[in-house]
Amino acid sequence: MSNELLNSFLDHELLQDKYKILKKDLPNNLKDGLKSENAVINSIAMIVQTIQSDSNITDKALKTKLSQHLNEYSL
Amino acid sequence: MIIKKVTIENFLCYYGIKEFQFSKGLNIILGENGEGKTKFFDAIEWLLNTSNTSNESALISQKALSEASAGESFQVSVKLTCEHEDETVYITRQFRVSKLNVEKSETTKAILDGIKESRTGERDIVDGKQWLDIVFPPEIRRYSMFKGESSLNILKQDASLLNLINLFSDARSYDKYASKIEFLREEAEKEVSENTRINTKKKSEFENLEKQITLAQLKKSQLEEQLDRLEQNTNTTIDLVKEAEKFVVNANALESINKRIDILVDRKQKNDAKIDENYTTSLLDDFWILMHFESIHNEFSKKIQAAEIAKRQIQQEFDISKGETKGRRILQAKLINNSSPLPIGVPNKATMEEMLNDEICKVCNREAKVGTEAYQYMENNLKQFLISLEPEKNVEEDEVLFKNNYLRSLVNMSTNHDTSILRFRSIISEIKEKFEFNKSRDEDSNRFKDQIDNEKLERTKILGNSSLGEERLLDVIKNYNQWQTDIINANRSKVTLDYQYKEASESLESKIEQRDKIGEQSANSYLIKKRDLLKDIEKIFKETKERKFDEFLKKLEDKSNEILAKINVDAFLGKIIFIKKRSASNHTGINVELVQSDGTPFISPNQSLETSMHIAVLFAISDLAAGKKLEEYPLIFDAPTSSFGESKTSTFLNLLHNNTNQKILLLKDFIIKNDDNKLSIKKEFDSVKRNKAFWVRLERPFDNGKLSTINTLVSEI
Repeated sequence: MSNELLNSFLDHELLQDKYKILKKDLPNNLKDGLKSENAVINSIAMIVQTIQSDSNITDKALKTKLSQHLNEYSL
Repeated sequence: MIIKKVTIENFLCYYGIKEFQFSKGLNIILGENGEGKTKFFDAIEWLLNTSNTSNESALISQKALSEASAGESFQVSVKLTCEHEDETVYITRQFRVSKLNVEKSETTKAILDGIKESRTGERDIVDGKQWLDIVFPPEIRRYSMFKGESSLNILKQDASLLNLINLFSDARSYDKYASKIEFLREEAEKEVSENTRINTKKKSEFENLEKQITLAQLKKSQLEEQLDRLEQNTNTTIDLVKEAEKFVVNANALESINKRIDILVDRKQKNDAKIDENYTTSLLDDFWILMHFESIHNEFSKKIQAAEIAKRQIQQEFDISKGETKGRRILQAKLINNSSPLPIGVPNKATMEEMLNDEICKVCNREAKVGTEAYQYMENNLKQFLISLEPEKNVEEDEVLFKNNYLRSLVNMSTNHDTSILRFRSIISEIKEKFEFNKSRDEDSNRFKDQIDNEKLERTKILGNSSLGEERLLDVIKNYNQWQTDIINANRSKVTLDYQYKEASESLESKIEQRDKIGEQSANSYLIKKRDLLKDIEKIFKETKERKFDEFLKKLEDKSNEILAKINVDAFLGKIIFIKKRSASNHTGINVELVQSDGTPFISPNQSLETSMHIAVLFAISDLAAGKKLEEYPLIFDAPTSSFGESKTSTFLNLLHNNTNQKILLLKDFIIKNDDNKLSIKKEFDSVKRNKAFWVRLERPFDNGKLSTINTLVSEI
């Protein structure tokens, strides 16, 4: 389900139109998504993994986790 | 979740312990009306609807109660054995009944027990309510049990279909992503704002913009609310119009029939007023009786004429005679030699009488004996003298022959009768004409009456065909016209509100843009990038959710139409369409409608078609959920196909059999009453494909006036 969700999000045309990511460069699964150096892909993968692993996670906890995650990235 | 078994104990007509072992796929429970089908449904409903605190004593099998001895107690229960994720879960709702005496008994409060059994056979007592909600979630139970065809109308409620789609499609998986990312983006925007406020040189401008943004957002949300409210009201009115359209044809027809009846009644009244039957008195009484006297009048008239001629002759003769007498008098008055006569009274009366007595004319002194010419001469003179002494009479009067002119009256009478005869000679034609006129009016009146009767008959038919009474049916027209006006007005208001909303949105966006521009010049670039990144992710999440929903809706529509075509073989189908409606505040609603091949709405589908449509949608959702390998849930229907014929029911059941999802159907079809009043299953049922079938019927004999003799038997067939 996680991969399916991730793939459906990564299928959005914004990634190609705005972020110029080619289809062939898109990850096929969550594991690859988390490894991606692209912040948008990586962030989406991180959010999917977090919500899928804990469906009851609070908004604030998710925000903290995302902030920590993005801090590691040089946006 | 699969229901493996339902055990009913001493519940209503189920006396003792009765079991239904179900399988996956299609399970059919057959039964005549009043033999236990609906009580089975009620038992399941009682078990599942834990918030229902109905009076327990009303649920007890009266047979069990009557057979229990005073002081004895027994259990009333409904037990659901179900398979859930490789585990068997037993959920039992039960209470105990203690019989105190013949008339009195006590019951405990109903409780819900749960037992969970693992594949290895390990059993744990669990919270019954909690586990019931796990194995059969309340939001799904709401859409799993349908009592009668009308309950399938649940799909017509605005939120129901959306809930179902969310429950059974994977669209709901995207919901939480959309809400979480919205929160993250808002937080990122707040961070940017706070950071800008600290760092910007245009602090006051920035803060002013923030205030303006807050106000613009408030205005926008107020307009959204107004638009939502307007849309809800319009939708409600549209629904009312649609509902009214079912009756509007009849209502229109009724109204025009009533108008026609009023016109006809008025015409009849005016026509009836023209009928004048006065001839019966004025003509018959005054003249009719004279009709046969014409010959008498003719004879009378002839006699009068003859009398008048005779009278004229007599008068003529009289006049001649009178003339002659007059002439003679004149002549007599003349004396011989034209000498002058003596004056009257010389000699006088006494002298003349004396002379006659003496028989001597003392005038000429000569003897005049009796019998002589001289004596006669004296006597005549005396007579003339005496006559001359009489008072002078009216000469004219004396000369009238007929003192009373009766004949003139008779002639006048005859002339009048001639006029009357002319009049009553026309009586026949007058009466005839009047009769014909009245007859014609009578015919008109009868024709009007027939027309009124026909219209009234038509009106009765219309009222008979309508579930509404005449008054309400006429109200439909009034309301229908008002609602149409309301919709037009609402659409006008919407145009204005839409324009205001567009203006408010543009103003808000412009202010946000201005604020962001200041932010971009002043705020931490990391925060800006983070906000922009989250804005993009929000767009991706929300649009993906929308697309997934649309994809599911398309599949659902296709699947529903596929099932509908199978249910309605060789019958009018129409096409099921799902209409997605989005409100100003972004709330989505789904309407399901049946349209004709040209896309125009099918206003009043019959019950059978409507049921087919609802079932097709329910099964399509169930099928698609199974295709997604989501948890499946049973569907339980009590008499869902009442409007189907038996042939259509067979087709429908065979179609259901092709679907592996669990369905439990309670039907009254396929039961036949033999000549000896015994019930049996029709042979046609042999050809119905099913996974399990049961027959519920009352144990015979029973006393139909005594519930204590009622016991439903369950047999697998």
